[in-house]
Amino acid sequence: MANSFLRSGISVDLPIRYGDISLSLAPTGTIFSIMPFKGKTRRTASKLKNILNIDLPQPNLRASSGEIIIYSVGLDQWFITSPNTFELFSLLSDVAAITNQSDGWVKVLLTDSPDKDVLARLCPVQPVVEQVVRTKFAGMMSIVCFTESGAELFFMRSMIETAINEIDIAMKSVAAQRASNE
Amino acid sequence: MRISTESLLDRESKVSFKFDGKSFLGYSGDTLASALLANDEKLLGRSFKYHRPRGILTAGSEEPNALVSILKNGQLTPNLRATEVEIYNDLEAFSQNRWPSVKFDFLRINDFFSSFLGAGFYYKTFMWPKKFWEKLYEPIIRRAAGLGKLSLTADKSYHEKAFAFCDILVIGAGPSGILSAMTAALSGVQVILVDEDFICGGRLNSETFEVDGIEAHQWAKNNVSKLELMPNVKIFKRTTIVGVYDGNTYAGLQKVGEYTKRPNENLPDSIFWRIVAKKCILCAGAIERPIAFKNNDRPGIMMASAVRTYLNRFGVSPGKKIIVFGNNDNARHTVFDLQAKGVEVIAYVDSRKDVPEIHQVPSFIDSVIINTHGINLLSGVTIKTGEVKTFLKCDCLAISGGWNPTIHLTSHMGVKPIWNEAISCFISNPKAVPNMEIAGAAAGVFSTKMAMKSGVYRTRKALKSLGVKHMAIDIPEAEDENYICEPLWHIEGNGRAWLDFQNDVTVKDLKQSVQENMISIEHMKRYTTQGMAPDQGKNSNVNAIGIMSELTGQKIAVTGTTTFRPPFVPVSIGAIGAGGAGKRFAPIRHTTSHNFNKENNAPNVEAGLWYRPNWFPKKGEKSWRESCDREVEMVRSKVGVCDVSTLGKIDVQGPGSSALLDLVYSNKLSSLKLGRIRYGLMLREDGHVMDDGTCARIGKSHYIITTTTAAAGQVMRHMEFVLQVLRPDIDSKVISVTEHWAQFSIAGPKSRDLINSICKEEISDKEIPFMNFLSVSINDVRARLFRISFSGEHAYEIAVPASYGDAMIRLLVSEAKKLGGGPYGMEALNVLRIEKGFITHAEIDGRVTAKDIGMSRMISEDKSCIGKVMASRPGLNSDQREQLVGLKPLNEKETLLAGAHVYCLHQQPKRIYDQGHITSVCYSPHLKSSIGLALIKNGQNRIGEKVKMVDHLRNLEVIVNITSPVFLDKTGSRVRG
Repeated sequence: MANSFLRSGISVDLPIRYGDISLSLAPTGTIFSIMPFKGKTRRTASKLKNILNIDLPQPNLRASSGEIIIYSVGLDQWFITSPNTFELFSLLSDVAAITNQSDGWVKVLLTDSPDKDVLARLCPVQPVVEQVVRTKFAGMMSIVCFTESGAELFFMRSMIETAINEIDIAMKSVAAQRASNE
Repeated sequence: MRISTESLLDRESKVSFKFDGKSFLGYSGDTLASALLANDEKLLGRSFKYHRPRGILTAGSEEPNALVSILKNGQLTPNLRATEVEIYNDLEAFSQNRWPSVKFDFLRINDFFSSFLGAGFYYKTFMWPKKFWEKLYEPIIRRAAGLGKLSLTADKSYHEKAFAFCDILVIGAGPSGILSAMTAALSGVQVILVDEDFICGGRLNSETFEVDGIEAHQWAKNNVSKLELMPNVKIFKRTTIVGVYDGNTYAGLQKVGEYTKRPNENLPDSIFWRIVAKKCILCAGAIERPIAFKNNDRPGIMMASAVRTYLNRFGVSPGKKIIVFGNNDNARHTVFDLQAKGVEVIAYVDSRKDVPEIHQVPSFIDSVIINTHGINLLSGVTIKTGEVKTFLKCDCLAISGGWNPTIHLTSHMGVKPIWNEAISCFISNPKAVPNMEIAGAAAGVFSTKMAMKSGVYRTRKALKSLGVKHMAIDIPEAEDENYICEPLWHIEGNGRAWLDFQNDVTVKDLKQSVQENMISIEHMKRYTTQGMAPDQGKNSNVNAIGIMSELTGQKIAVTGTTTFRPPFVPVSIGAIGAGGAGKRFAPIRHTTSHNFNKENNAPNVEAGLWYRPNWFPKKGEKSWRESCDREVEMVRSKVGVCDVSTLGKIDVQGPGSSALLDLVYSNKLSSLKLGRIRYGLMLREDGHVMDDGTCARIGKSHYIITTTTAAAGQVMRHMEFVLQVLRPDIDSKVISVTEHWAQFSIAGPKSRDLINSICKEEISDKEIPFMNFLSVSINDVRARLFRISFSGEHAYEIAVPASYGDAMIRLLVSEAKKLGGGPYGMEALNVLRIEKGFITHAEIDGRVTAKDIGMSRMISEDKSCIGKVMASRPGLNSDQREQLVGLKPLNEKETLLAGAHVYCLHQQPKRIYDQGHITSVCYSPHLKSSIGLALIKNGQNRIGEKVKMVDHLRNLEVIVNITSPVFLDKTGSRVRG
């Protein structure tokens, strides 16, 4: 009956590259949201530290331990990502609301120009390296983590095609402008 | 004519272009204006109203006359300033507002009737007959007057939007701007330097004096090169700041592909920047003002500063025999520059008394020009000295009436400028724009050295307020003359003296305005259209104010100014809406079954941002109705599968969740037992229905609620607002899980069989009765099974992680087909729910109450909820409100139309007799009739009454019966069976 009942990946045409600007799909494994209950933020942080050796980052920041990364994504809200599956509910459900968001978000990596010209065409937030913001991005809700080389971008699964199309247009434009200035 | 002296052009690079179909040559670095002047083309267009011949007046963005249309990639872009258009090979430009040609324009006839066409003549002349205005007068006037024409084809231009951030934004890369940017950059802050020109330097590129011992333009080039190499500096050339907004936000329009022939298709024509700057230094310079005298608009008459620009920067003399007229030393400098380049200066005319004559040039001191002569081009002027009139031949007249600081941007936040008597110009109120400093000529500091000093000083001030220690910078040695200017707004005399060249407004129009008591500057503007053209009166407003002051006897400071509004230069709508054209208007959301839908040729319907399958056509089906009817029958008799992932899904957790849900839902949800589901209604604070959906309790303090597709975002926002603002004491956490779960409806009498064919667990009514929830497995994947129905049939909704969504739709449809079923789309879903009287946002359109839709009992009496108090207001409970009912035509062959209005049989179908409107319609294959839902006054008490549906737009009238909104299975036996 269900032999063909398999996961399917995101059907997008990645990676794309124009010179040294590129966009690629980043595997995320699992993504859980963590929202500590009232007065339980410290306990949540302490548990995460003890169990996963990772800090709960301050607002607009991220923390990592090995391949596990925690992003601050909103008011008292964090996303924890890991390439491996792990059961977070049993670890934290007494101190925080946990939801599985693994299939809801798609992460892509943008390698931008040194001046972050591609991001400038899509994201209305000033890029500060290592900062995480939940922001409008080309008309879509997104989570953006600015990195030295560009950004880690999280988009809702349903809008990933639009997101890639918009980033592609901006990348092509930046590449064309650089070429015309040379 | 081109002269052979040094210029900033690349003389090795020739450029071929066309103007009005005729080919010309220019050089790289030329503007269209400079290249045409070099080719002795001075007649470039016709004026707005009188169709008078017009030439180039200026050398910058303030140009009112030389407006051209550019044909590129098959598209004609009108009203571009020739003074800003960079030439490129095969550029095709056209003059405007003329027929049949710019040299012979038939509508020049307007000029001969100018006595009848003065200010306000429209209002007085075209009064009667009234109906002629729209049909005759206005079309004729619009045809006769105007600027360029649109191509009337779809806009092919490609614009981009972008965001930039900096500590200090410097507007203008002239002497003060360059030193301002240098001061800021050396101090280590992030700097953006913008300039509207394609070469930075401003006036330094047009003058012959030296700065720090080198040519001014070379000094500018050297310093801009240094800035370009600094990592904390961005230089945006060809960028005009067009607006200033709250939050230190500046709108900038950058030309990118507009100045090239056929750009790479990925190269945008322009970029519309939103620049957020902690501090801004406005170094926008100044605009030279003309002097109004009789026939001062002939081609060949040009601002003195523009003459120097064409001469020194572009190597072009605007004439062979030039007269210079002014009231300040700019006129003298122009003469000196012309002499230095070997151009013949016929005369120097200065209105001042105590200025020396110029060696080797006939000088007319204490004199003015009272008239010009010529047909299409300037051929001579009349000079008046005392009572003596002198006629001199010339082909160019350079004029200078003094400088007006470019303070337009400082007015964009509503603060008006201040008149400065000492320098006879308006300067900005220093507090006009928060966090903006004004430097250089824009601040009324006109000597080059002092402008530079001002740029440095203002930047230091800005740096200090940012807490940044400034780096010391030497002020270069440069021209440092005092600016002395005696105001000279116009020369008295007969005939028309032009003020607003772009809108054809003359001094006579202003006089008429005053005569008719339009003495307020704002009234004068509207009566005469002075300053209302695209150039916003850059060349003319101050002169007009000066003349108004003279006419009314009021001081200029009392006369005041009109408002400089954004944009500073015209901006195309395409640039403002960059990134939003066509399908890029909004993001597209696809469900996980999108590929399956495509493979099955299902046409999409947009539901908000979502694309959902409308129906699944089968071979042989000729219309959507056939497919839809089949799908409805399939669900009612067998089983159908539909992707309902688009419904909002919100996860609610925490010890306070029951309290939260009791607050946001009108009915009680805290009493919901574990594993049970309850239908819920949400009200807005004003008592109207916000949304409906289901709530499943899947843990002790863990709920999953669903919302409609349309209101998913609204409900999420509402719940966050409640938790953050209204009841921050409630310990509950909400988060959207809409994207994580792919959810499918399985509806029909065989739905349980289908579920049993895919789930590991045996499913029966006992395990999961109606309105219950169960966690199940499909292979080893955990799924959520909800026994709910939006079709009135025995039905389930099953949710799996979205990465299994594609597999799930294929599995469900495959199993459904074995049971005689298959997929169904939005059309069938709509029919199924209308037959049952289930509501969507077509019914709960934001204006209805729970009572209106027959759900007043859903507002629990046991508890409070958002909207309860307001919903109890008498006005929201009146029987005369429109209430939800069903409609069915008496003649089953007739069709109902959504949006049509309902009237009593005996009353005229007029607005005052309106009884309500139809919200949803469909053809019910079960009832073999068109049916509908409607909101009708006192509808719930009018069941059985005959009324008429009237659709005024589609011209249809149908007699209908008011029925219960539930057309099928009124007892709900199917859903529980």
